[in-house]
Amino acid sequence: MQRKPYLTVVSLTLSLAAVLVGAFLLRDRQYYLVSGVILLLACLPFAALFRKRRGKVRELVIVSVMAAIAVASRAAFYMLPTVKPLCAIAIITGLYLGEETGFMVGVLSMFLSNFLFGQGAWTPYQIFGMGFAVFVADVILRAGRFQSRRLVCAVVGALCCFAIYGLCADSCAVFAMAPDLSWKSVSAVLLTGLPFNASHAAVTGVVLFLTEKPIGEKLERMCVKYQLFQKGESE
Amino acid sequence: MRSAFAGSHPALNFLFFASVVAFGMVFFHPVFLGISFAAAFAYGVRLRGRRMLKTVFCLLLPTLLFVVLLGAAFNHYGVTTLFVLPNGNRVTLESIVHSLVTGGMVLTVFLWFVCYNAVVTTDKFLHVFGRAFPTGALLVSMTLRFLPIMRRRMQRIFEAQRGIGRGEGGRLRNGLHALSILVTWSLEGAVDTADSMKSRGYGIRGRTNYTRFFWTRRDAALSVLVLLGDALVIAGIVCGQTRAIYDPYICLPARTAFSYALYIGYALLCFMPLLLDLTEDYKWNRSR
Repeated sequence: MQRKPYLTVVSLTLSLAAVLVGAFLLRDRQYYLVSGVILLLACLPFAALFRKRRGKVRELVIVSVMAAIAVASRAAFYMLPTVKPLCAIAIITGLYLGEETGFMVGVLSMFLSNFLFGQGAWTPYQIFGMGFAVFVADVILRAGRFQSRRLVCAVVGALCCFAIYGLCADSCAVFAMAPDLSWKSVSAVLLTGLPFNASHAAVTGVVLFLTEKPIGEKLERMCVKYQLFQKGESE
Repeated sequence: MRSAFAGSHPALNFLFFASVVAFGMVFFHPVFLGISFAAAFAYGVRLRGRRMLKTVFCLLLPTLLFVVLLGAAFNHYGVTTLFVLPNGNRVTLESIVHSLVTGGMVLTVFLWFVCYNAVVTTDKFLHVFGRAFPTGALLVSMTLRFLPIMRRRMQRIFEAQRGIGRGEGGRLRNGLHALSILVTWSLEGAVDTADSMKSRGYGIRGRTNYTRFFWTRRDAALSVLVLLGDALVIAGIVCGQTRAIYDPYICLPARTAFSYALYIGYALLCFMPLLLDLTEDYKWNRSR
């Protein structure tokens, strides 16, 4: 997949415009609306990357299957309601099929699970947080060639899930609930989300540790067998 | 509950919710907030009946109380001291009102999203965005279709596992094992699905989508009304009518004839779906 630098520029410019409009036109402190708009804009370059891939039906269907598995994976642990392996599955997918694919699976599955549990003002924060956490984890792991070193994968995945997804998802609560953006009130809101984020990250780490190998092998086999998600080719 | 607004064109539904949610997130002014809250609450009750009342009183009002307590405990600006806490911090009227307004804003947006989820179903969402992002819309609808399939496969995997005596003990391991089986099964199927799509002509130019939504004259008229309402409110924002300051003292813009016109326009905008529903109900009952 070729990266499209001009789209990044466009989305950065639009984000800047959103900040300026928020700062000057609306005058009051509009973190809530402006940040939501920026997060949606941040997904733009990735969405455009995928538009180019229309012809590759097999890859599209595999992305959609992995996203469906990520959402449905909760059902595998119907006896353990706190286990939500969505983030882990998106990370594994990205690990073997490329970080852009991982981003897409994370975003898509988060978006759809929001369809099931109700959309809200938190949707852009959760979507972007998930996509970005998966993307960063995959960039780190792929750059270091850490595939199949499952302990490293588990630790990096859990940290990204905790720090990036936790922060993004909670910043919605911060903008909504904190009366002002002083350090005290922000940390108060973030602290209330801490236990939840920690448990989510721990689950992500454990699931990554245990399934990285079996699921990864299957994804890799698919790539080799059908020549999918090959590097270096555009279009 | 059948709603005439929910039966109108998805683009109109989207335009309306985009307007009220954006305005709902922006206004700190108590009058605008109150109007929006009342409209979202009333329409939510109309759409979801008793469940809405339950959501509001059991979940949302306690949350609001929590936010107000948090605000009063952490913020000590303002000139009107109500009382002094044992550790010497002041609890002020301004900080309480400000937290109430902030919390009310979140509550209002939440209520609008409750209405949104009842009105804008997945097929409507795909109808609005499918043309602009065909690949994205395909991905979303395909994944939605895969969800029930995955759930059914998962059940069959569990049944088979139980049949060969692997069901008991080590629950996490069982779940992960089932997940791994599901991946194997579905990835092979995905390639078949893709080949089948291609051989049936996916991606050929000039194909159209089936739609069951039609743009009527009423949709056009209502969209124009919503846009006019948006324009009026934006004019109000530019004129500073929607500003509200809570620090150091509560200061609202002076009320003029324009502000009252603005209040009425905003109320008409927010109550539009409910008014439409009630008019349709009235017509229906009279024609019976």
